[in-house]
Amino acid sequence: MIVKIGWNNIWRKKGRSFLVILSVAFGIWVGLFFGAFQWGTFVQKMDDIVNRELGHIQIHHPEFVDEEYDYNFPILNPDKVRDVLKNDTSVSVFVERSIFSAMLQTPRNQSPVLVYGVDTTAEQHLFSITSMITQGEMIEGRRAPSLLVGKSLANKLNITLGSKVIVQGGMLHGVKSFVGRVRGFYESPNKMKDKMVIYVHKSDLDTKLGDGFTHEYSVLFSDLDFLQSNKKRIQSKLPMNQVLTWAEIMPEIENGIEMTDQVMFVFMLIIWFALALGIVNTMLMSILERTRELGMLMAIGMGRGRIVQMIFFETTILTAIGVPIGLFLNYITVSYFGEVGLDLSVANAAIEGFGYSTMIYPAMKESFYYQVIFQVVLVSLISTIFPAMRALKLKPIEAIHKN
Amino acid sequence: MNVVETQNLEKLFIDAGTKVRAVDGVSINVEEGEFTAIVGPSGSGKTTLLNMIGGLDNPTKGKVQVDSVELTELSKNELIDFRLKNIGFVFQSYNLIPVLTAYENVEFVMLLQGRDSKERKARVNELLVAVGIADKAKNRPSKLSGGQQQRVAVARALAPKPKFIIADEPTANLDSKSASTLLDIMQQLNEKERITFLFSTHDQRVIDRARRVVTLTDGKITEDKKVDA
Repeated sequence: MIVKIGWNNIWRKKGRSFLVILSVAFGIWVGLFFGAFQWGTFVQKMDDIVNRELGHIQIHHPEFVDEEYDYNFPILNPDKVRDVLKNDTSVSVFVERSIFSAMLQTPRNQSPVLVYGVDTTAEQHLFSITSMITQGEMIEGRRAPSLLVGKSLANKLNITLGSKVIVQGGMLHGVKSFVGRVRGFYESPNKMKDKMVIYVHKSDLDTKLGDGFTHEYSVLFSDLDFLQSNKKRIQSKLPMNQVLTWAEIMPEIENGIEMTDQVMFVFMLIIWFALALGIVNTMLMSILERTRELGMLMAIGMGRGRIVQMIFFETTILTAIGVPIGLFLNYITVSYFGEVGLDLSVANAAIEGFGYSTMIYPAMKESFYYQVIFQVVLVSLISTIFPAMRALKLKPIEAIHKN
Repeated sequence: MNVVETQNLEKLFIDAGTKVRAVDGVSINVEEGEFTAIVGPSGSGKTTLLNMIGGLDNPTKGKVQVDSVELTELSKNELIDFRLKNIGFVFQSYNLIPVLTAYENVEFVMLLQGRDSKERKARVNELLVAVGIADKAKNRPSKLSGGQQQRVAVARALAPKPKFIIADEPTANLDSKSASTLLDIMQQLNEKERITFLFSTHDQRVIDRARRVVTLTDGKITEDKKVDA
């Protein structure tokens, strides 16, 4: 009967009840959607930068990173490194790269660049250079090494396909340069990279410069969950070089994720606070309107526990109706934007500047559902405490005679 | 046997800094099966006295015993439980639960008492017949007239088989026909089932039917007379 009274009370003022239901639905929707957005951003960043570029770990000369990618510090004993990585069962794929900074010169222009000597076949397993090529191709073994240049850099230097350019870099034993031919343009999600990085076949580079140095091993594991233990194990086998996780190489990614978490936390606090205010206000109104009825119920012998039970039941029902509506709205929006993506380039050019993809594809994690639903239910129930306390403070004799 | 017994009952209110003695040393005994009206002008302390007897308000001084239980010694929760089991209330403005039907309103108190469904059903149907609104059992209060609502309120008060019923101005909002019907019902229940009724009223129709009339003036009993049937 208490359930029936509670249920019917909800529908006494339909507009007000719908307001609470919508508040709960909105809270669930926004909470889950932003969780999905956050997770999508993380996945995107991981995919753009970690899975497609950095790798889960990288191996460097101990001073290579400290000296800001100084090519005077190539990997020590690369054969041993190759051997260790080949025989480690947790390693899914690894690539070796030569990296050095240089000046890219055309007859009329020049620009500082970072030259990546890569094995395109091996890199296919990590990130597909060829899939980024928008024009031309990257042919190995030509007399003038084939260069792959970012489209935006090409535009800046007025480089066309087939242009001959000079790549001049300071190497371990003095300044060295070679003439290359631009045979392809690429566009990546990382706009900053497009302006800075040029690719060349590592074998061509070794032939031209004669160094045969490797500056970086980029490694992907089959399971990212064991990142730290894998890193420790590989580091112990390669004490002469430095093994770094993606977060250690680019702490700004992790910081960015943490900052997003904090922003989300504050944002969710605001949402929950607004939801709590809505529920407190609505339930308080409902109780004030029923003062006489509550007084009568107390007078005829309805205990305080049952009064509280009834009020909490009402909030629980409103929440229980709001939760699936919020879940449904979230399902629709996450499904839609998970497919077409959210283009943030207009809203935030800085994202592009940081080298992240501007397209975010919201994605759900199962744990979001539990977290957000738990939070909404908790907020709803906590918000009911104050109205319930107000109801308990009523004195039957005064409440009955209240107009 | 006394159902209600009060000794030197006092209730002091402070109104705008002035002490007002609403009930002033009232000692009264109500025996089982009485049909008693407490009368007096507005502000004479009738409702305050009934509230204290009904365990809805605490006296400033004095004692209230209902069925030999001293109400002033009970905690708030014990009082709620005591009211549930021993006292029926009929209010001036009916105070039914608007979202329940007439049947459910009567049944509600028995549910609070934890009575089983079979017993509830039999008792509710019996009471709805007794107050003459069995045909309106499925109606919500908004679909009932004032008189019908008050009859449901009487049935509700009787449902848990209380020791006595307190009726605070039960006919104040009723037209004379409805008031007469209601009084007939209460009188019949009193005579047939020896249910004790304690009214506060200044309605002459109620006073005319009462077998004991207690007059309160300025919080004191100024007259207590029994009327022969």
